[in-house]
Amino acid sequence: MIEAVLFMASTGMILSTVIALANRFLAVETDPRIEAVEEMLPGANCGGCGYSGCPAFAKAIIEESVEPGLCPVSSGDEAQRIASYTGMEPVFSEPYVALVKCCGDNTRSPERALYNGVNDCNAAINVAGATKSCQHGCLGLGSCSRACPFNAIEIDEELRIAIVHPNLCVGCGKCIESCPRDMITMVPKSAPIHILCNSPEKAPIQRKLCTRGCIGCQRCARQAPESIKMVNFLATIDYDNPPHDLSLVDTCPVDRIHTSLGIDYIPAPKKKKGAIKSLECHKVLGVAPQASEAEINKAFADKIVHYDISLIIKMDEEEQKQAIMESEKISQAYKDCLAFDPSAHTVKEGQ
Amino acid sequence: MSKEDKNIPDHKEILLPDASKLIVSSSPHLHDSGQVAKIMREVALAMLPLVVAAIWVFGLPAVRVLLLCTAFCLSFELISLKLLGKSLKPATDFSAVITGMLLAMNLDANAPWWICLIGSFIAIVVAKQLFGGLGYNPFNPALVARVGLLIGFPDIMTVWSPTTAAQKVSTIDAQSLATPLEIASQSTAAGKELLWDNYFDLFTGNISGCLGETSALAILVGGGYLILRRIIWWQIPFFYILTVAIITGLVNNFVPMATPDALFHILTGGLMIGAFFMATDMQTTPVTRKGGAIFAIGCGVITSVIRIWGAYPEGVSFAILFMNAFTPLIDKMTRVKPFGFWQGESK
Amino acid sequence: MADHLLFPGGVHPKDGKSISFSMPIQSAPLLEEYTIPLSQHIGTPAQPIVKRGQRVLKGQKIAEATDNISAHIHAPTSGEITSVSKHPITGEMLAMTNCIGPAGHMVSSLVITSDGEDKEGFTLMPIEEWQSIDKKILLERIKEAGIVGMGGAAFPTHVKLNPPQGKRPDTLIINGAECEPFLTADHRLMLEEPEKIIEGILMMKYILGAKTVYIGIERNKPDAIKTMKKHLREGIEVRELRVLYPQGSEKQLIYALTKRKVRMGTLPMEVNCIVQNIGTAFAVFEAIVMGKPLFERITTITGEPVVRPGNWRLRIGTSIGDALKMAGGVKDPEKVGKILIGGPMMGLAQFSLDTPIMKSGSGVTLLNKDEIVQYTSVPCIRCGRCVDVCPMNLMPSTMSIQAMKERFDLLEEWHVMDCLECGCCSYVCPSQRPLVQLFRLGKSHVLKKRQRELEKLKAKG
Repeated sequence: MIEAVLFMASTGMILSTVIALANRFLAVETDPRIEAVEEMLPGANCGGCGYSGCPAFAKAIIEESVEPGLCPVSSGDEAQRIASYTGMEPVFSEPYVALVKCCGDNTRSPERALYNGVNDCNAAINVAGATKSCQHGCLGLGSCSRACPFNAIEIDEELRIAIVHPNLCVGCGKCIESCPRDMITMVPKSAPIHILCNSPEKAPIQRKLCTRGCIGCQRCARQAPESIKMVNFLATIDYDNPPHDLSLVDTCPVDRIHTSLGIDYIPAPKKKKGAIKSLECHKVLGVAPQASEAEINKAFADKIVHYDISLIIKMDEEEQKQAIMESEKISQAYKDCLAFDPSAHTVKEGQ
Repeated sequence: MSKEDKNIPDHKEILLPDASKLIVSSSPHLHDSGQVAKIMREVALAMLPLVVAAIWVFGLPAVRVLLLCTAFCLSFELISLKLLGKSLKPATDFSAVITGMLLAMNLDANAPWWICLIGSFIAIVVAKQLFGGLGYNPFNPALVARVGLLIGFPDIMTVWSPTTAAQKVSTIDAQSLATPLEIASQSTAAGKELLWDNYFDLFTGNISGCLGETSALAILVGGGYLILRRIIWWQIPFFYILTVAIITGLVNNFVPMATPDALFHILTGGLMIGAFFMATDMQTTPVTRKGGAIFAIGCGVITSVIRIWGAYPEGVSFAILFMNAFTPLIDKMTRVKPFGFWQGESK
Repeated sequence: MADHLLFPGGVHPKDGKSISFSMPIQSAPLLEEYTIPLSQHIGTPAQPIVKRGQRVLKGQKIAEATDNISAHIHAPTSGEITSVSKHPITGEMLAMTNCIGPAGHMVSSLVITSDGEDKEGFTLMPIEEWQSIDKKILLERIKEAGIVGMGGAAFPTHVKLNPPQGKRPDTLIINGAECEPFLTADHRLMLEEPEKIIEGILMMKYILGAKTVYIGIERNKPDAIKTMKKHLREGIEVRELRVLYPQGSEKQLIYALTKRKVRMGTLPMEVNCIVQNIGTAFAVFEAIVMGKPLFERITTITGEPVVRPGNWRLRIGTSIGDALKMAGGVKDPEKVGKILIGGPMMGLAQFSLDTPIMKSGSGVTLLNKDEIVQYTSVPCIRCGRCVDVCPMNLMPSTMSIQAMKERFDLLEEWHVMDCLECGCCSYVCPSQRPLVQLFRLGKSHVLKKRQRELEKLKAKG
């Protein structure tokens, strides 16, 4: 019994001495600040800063005074924290997100034959480009989606196209290398207008390849010459000076130009010839453009009852102002709907 | 020069294929029509002689165990695929049926239905589906189930039913219900040399034990069929049985009381079924023939050691499971040298 | 004849040669239009030297080789250059257009609209007494004639027959194996033009200065073996080869005939061997003795769905649709599953009937829907059959799992760059995994990585 106790005690003492000595003589000197900065970084290890991971970036910040703002994932506040900790001035760069420059899904750029093989864009590109009609278009097999560490790229299985969710994308850039057709670019998050086409073919060929491809008509480039340049027969936005005029969207005959980053790229269905276009007043009242007078009256009555004077008196001042504005809007819409002339707003061919 | 040549008939219409219906894939475009389901069906066919032998030796209870195990295995496969959210298509590759049959071969003829149920659960859900399904399991599912049952329910798994031949004899004593290997270990414990007289019975299978431990003849027929059809490699059963024969033969030669002779060892226990049907399971054994031979020799050594000096009378299941764990290492060690490999090659 | 050494592995796919091997070579009728791609060979594409609307004669050079590893292209018939496109930046009118190439990508090409007269315009003088001419002149002639390897790889022959200083190949091997199933073009050529082939071989032997010449022919062509043996000349030997795919692959052929193993990552030149296809020997003969440049080749149009399969002398630029029309079309368009350029083991699947057949197109094979393989994503069951059959002794099962996990660094270690892409592994895989496609993916990643490393080194200085 006593031998066991003595043995355990002596073993413990020897081992602890060894550890203490090792800690003294074999310790690796690390700057404690590196660990502190590493704690402040998001820890995604995406490589968007250009370093191999968050620990390497933390080391670079401390040792080489690299800008903390290089990290695309951390928000402005986080970069500010790091900067104030290290005593550096943070440079705020505009957040960038990825954009897949193609909206040619398989309803618009159909597959020419049946593809059977590995479901990966890089693998399919060697097998007849997965038989997609447009040689510059998105294959939709998911290489970029799998490369994204933040699950920001969605592949619509039926439509076979990649869509970047800009609210999830942090701009690390991993998707760019994974695309075999080099159609993913980084665009500023604030730019509202994008041209979702990557094909430099001219109109007669382009029309056969994809019903929504850029045909090079140059209408958008003529309207905004300092923001849109023509490269071959493809209109390209210069993101150093992006356009902000939303009316550019209407200049495109093939609906190529879009706002936002492709989430709502699925367009409203094309109105058939003879359909009546609705106006703002119809939306406010919630009626169809070809509604009858009785329907418009009913809709108006339903809506205005909420803004009856007896109710408004009971509200406080702020709410009263709001309610009066709303009721005026509804009254105006009612007048416009009654005055609406359907023949003036009928869809003609080709719209 | 006329563009119409005499080669092209002008009276019959020339049909061309519709280009949009063509299939595009990488080369090669032919296949030798081997498929997983086909392989499994061949294995099932090869097990038929053994099934027939088991029914002949044990009667109808054997059929009951077989059907129960197969049914439970298939059901668990379908249920687990459904719960895991995968498509049910992998269940059509017949591998659950094979696992069910092999599991039944490891059980006694009068095994209770709930033993079949628990065994199927361990085999399909724990040892196969939880690892990812066919192709991902590292251990042989039927053997994992057998070992699991052996450890969990040792009294039930070590009591054997009488054979139909033994039932005709009026007195059934504990001795007649023991497997030959158990008899051998008893005599070793008693310090006596075992002298077995009826090798023919061992060969045809008229002995006590689990369903698959019976007829070496049936297993040879089935295993030989599989080797001829190139479903399994001959290296594995050959080296396995050879190693056991050599080790047990040597020990028996010098210390006869320690263990019976080599032929006894080959014909008894799960060695035959293990060598031909369990140790040749593709997912859990090495990918090269050389690796397979090393695997088989390892199994042989461990089986012999357990049988001669271990506490359990039968060592095949443990041996195969143990070597299954070594399969990735064996694969790494037996990497084939490519054609034209030379020492200067840096990688 | 003694059985020769076999290489490791190999498979026996369905032969399919009985469909067309008895059909003699037919001349193709003149077509209205020929689409000629500018890149029909390994190396840089040729540059066109004609203008839009220019009239050309048959055999006239229409595109020139850009550097050493490149080949000239000649017009297959007389007519007018009708391809046109506008240069995207300068706006200049070019004589080129785009067409879908056999690999599925768009390639630049020239289009000749035939004028129906098929007038010859050979500019090369026939050289009858080639034995007394300097080798350099003969090599120059081969280059002028635009000859490339006719076995399918299309490597420029004038480069292959001109080894760099210090290398003295002593063995010339002529590949008459035609191991690819369904194809019988080389077989018929050997039966019908043995003397010209032998003379072409002698020319190549003279140019190389080789001591021994072997013609390797697989045993499934006994009549070809007999015919070639009958016309043998001094210094050439015919060797029978056992029927095994891929016997016609360079490294395996060299091993079977000479016991020499080509080291991994090196060329056959390292073991003093040069391999040429039998069709190339024929083309060399025609170029030197008849002054005829390369603008047509023997192609097998075959497959169960084809009405009249056979072997045709097709001019380059014939579209697949036109070739099928020559063969009488298909019996039942609903049943056709695949159209391949080449054979079924290494051929490229097509999805357009306008794709032209080039210098490397040795066959057009059609397969029915029930004959083709449907690739799946079932996991590898580690059965080891692929390891058994790989002719390069690689381990496709492990490599495919690495490729699916995108571990391309491991793939490089496991020698994916030495994969022949022959298809033996996919052929036997019971899970029907697309192994060759995965290895092609791996190879492209490894090449990209090497390219990046090269650029990094260049940038450093």
